[in-house]
Amino acid sequence: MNPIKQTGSSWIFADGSAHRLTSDLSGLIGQQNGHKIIVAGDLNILYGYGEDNSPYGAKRHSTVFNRMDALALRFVGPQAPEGGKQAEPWPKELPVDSLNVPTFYHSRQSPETATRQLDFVFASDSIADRVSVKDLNSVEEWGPSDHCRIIIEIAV
Amino acid sequence: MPNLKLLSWNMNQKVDNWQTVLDSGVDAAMLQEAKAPPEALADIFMIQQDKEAAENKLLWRAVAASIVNTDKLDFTPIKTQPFGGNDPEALMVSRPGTLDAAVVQVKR
Repeated sequence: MNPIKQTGSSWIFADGSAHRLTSDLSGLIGQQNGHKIIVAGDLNILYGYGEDNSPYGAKRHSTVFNRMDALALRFVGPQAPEGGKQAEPWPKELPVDSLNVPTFYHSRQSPETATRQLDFVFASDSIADRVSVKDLNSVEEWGPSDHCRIIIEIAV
Repeated sequence: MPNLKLLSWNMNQKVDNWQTVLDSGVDAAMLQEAKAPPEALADIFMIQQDKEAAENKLLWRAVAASIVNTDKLDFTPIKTQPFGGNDPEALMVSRPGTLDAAVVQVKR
């Protein structure tokens, strides 16, 4: 999404689209607890930080995760160490204690140099403890897309 | 009973990537930027029937898919409708193609 022309801004922001999807998802929830839902996909937002260490961006992105949590949809990964390999070298914008794993590479990157995690998985609180998430983000496993594949296993 | 195995993947609008979905060995998939499956694989996957998407007009389409003829689960796509629709069984999606859903029940 872009701000309207009158703002004079060239921003591109994705948190608005993620919030729109969160609103749509609410139609699947008919009880406070006990639902069994897996939500996954490319949200094009960042977890735990903002672009170029922007506190403003971090605050906007975090509101998406907060809204999902309010719907009893817990963020379950992928996150290191079980969820995949982390970026190497460590990206300047990424907090040193982040567990994020790259899921996307842009046109000047490759699977080997990917830095950002844009894909996320959420699970209902009622089943979240039975869900494991693995990012196939090694060079050998990445696959033919700019996003790697994410495997979600649910113990039934 | 073995785990239920799902795939989430942004397919980058590549039709050939449906073969990779199949080769991933999962029970069902949550796909983004998905074109319609190629003719050779169309009968292998169960997805929402969507004429607009079949004509590839929705470049950013999200798709919930399952392998047909699996004896492990029952897969029922949830219908979607634009905002303001009045089908009580269909999920309202504010931008068609950006969200898809299905009910998955593991067979006992």
